[in-house]
Amino acid sequence: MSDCCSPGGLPASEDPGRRHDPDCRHAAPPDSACPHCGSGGLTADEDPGRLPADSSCPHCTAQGETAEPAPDALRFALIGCPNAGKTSVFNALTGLRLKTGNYPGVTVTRTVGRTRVKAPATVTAGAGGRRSRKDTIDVYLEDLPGTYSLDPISPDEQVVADLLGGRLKGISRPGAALVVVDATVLERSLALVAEAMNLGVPVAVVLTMTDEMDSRGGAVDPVGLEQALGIPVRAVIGTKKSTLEPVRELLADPSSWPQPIVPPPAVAGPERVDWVRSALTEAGYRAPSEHSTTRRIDRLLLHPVWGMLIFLAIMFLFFQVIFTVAAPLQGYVEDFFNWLGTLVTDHVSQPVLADFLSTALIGGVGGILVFLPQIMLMFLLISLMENVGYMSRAAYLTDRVMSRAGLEGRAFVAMLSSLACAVPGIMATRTIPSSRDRIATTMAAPLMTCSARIPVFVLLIGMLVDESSRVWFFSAQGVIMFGLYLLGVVSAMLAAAVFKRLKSLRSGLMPFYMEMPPYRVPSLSNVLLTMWDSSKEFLAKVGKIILATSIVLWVLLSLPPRTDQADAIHEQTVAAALASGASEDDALAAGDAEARSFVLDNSYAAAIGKAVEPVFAPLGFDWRIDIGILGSFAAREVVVSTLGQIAAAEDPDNPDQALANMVHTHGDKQGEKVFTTPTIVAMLLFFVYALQCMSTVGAIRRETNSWKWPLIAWTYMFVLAWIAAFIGYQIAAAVS
Amino acid sequence: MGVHLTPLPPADGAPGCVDWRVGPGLVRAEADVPPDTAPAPVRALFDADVLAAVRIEPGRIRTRFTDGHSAEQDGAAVRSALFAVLSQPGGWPAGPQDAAEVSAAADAEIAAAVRQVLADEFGAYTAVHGGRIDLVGVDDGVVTVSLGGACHGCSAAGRTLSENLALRLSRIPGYRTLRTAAAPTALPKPTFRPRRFRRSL
Repeated sequence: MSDCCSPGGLPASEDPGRRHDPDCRHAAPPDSACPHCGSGGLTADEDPGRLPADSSCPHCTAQGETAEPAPDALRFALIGCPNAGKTSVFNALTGLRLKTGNYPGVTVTRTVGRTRVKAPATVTAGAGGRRSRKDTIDVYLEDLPGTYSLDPISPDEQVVADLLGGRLKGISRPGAALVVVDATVLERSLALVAEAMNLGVPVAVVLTMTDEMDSRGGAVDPVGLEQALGIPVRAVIGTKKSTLEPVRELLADPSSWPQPIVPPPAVAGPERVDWVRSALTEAGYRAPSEHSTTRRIDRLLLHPVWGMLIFLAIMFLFFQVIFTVAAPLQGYVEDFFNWLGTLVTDHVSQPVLADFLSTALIGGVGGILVFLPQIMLMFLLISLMENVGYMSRAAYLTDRVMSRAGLEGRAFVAMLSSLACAVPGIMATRTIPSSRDRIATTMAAPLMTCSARIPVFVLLIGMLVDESSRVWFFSAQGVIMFGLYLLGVVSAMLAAAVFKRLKSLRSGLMPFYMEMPPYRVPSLSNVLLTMWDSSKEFLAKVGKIILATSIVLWVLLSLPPRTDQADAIHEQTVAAALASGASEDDALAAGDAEARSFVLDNSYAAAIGKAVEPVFAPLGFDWRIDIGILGSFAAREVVVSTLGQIAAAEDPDNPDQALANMVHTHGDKQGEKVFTTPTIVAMLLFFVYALQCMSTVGAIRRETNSWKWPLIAWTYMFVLAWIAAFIGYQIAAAVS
Repeated sequence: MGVHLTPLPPADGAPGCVDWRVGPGLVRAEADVPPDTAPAPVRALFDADVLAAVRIEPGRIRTRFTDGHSAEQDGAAVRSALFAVLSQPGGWPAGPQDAAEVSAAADAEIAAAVRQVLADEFGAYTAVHGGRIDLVGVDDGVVTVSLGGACHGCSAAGRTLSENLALRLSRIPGYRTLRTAAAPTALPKPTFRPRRFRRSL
């Protein structure tokens, strides 16, 4: 255990949740394969808080980092209660675009951003900040997870406390702190302000949501509050950049900030209660009325029965939309790639290049991109739910169910994040105080249906039922998709419940408190940007992992070339076809197909696929699916690109048909169709359960700081996937 | 009623001193406090050689540190000691001690603060409109004012009182509600301010 890592509640040796300090940037480089990691923020090298590489820290030496700090740079910690709008302020000041949402706990680690401010008149180069131009200096802001107190209960709060206490190894203490306070909940935010004012660094308050305070009939006078607290107070609207100017001016020179002659009471108690009350009185504070729309909507949406039904109905309708709205869009993307395909056959005469383009690029990578519309729609829904404020409600609703499973509502927030991608979901477990709950949630989160499963599900469902089939009025495809999502969620809950029953993970329930933010009309640009960021990451993933596996597969599929044998088969087939009276064109085509099949069937890829065939034969998979499955353990979508690629290799002109009509090439099922109903059902179930994602495995390893838990997760999910697929295969075979 | 203990740098710049503003009625005498008559928590700080002098007056306590001690270092301890004393019923044990007299002292302090508000910019604001608002009295935190001049019969007077004056008075520690002498019922707590009036504040 390196000393980079913060101690947990239990002794390190006993703590199953022992993990790297999330902030130890040596330990946890952002996962480039994860669509949500590493977006925004400065790189480690630019981070002014970084101390020189610590030779006692294995991560430093392992990575050979030599980042030199800029010891004179001004650094500000942004602290505040969850959902106070720290990240909005951070983004507005730095011009970065970190993910924000109208629910608590969106930020789980420290991110550093830079902003340029006017230099104070008296500053001398090197004393207050680094002079970059004549009259501006660069200052650095650190966005931190929300915390109710500097006395932490969960790892994400621990980051804040450690950073401000100067206890983070390798990172120096920020020179000043900005406390971001939601004006509408000022009363309970002042305790954190009091704690911050006892840190011994200059502190200023950024008062957010003042517009909402106004509209809800509340009142607070920033000038009065400034006098009462004795520190600078600036009222802002986080989403309006122009209101941040006064804060920017503050950032130039924290040493000039007024500080009270005696700091407020550091510890909770009657003295501090009195201090808070006094400050509120002096600031002319009047609590805002409850958000009346929110109250009315919540009466329905938080209803134990109706709320749950509405939640399910929203999800159900959403999957209908995925198939009815996205299908035509998907058609356009398909058309585009078909058009590209004809371009290749018409204009590329070099056979190897043409084969690479049509098979690996158009068949493989293009096969995934076809599903971009569905993925974007999915991200649109998630982004909407986050920004409107529905996520907290969903967490609240499921808390009841979750607590029965032995998990708390915070775990559901992590689970909800896993709907987009399990990696941020697993990172979101940092908000969970109990390390045991954290592990149980981490073990279950990959079962939530992540966006990587969408292409797989859409492809397979499309082969299973026709687009026009209906269940009552609803698209049968949408209904199946909804069912698969539901299966994922229920399985995740059950898995969590089972893990909580394990002796080493049993623990009492911690009280669950969560801000219920008022419903807010999300800004269109914010929703679209969130969606676009996620989609962009998906595209990046396609450009990296999928492209790489497609190239590897292309090589494995076309080698060894066996040119002589292939030519011989070609000639034989053509001759036989001509003999049986086929036209010359047909005969040549048949010869090409036979020759290609021969090369495929005898390729290295086929050898690998056939080697593992016995494992998956009971599920009805043939070697081609097996190749896809093997590849999909890197990332789930690979199976789609692999199958697309194999189909394109077999019949470049009509890969869809080739895929649907694929037959077993050998064994006792030779000549039978591969994609029968039982096989497709088995595949769907396999993909519901299997942990086919290296990024997730890596995330589990980082968060638990051991190989034990990722190994357990992978194994139990594989076993579960195989059994579920087998049962599904048997039932489907019996029914049809 | 809270203690409303707020440390301020001394207005006259006296070195080594902190002026503690305290809630109304908690200090009812004006005197230098010698160590031997100071309440126990404060005397302990004298004994520890942290405090050199303490002076009380209504609404304010001034503490002076000995050499080698400072607000930064020992302010928290002084705050705790003062809070312990002032949070007792009756506040600082000096001057009249029975409940009615404590309350009267508090009202007197509130009245002074209300007069200050009426004399300052709020008075200027009403005067511009030809109106006049006078303090009639303070009873247990309830402030009574009378309307005069152009206020009388003015349709906006009620709003001026409830939305503007009451809001300012609500920042005075110990203030509870505002009444007018003519209408003895308490004005409703302001709950809604139309946008067009907000600017006028």
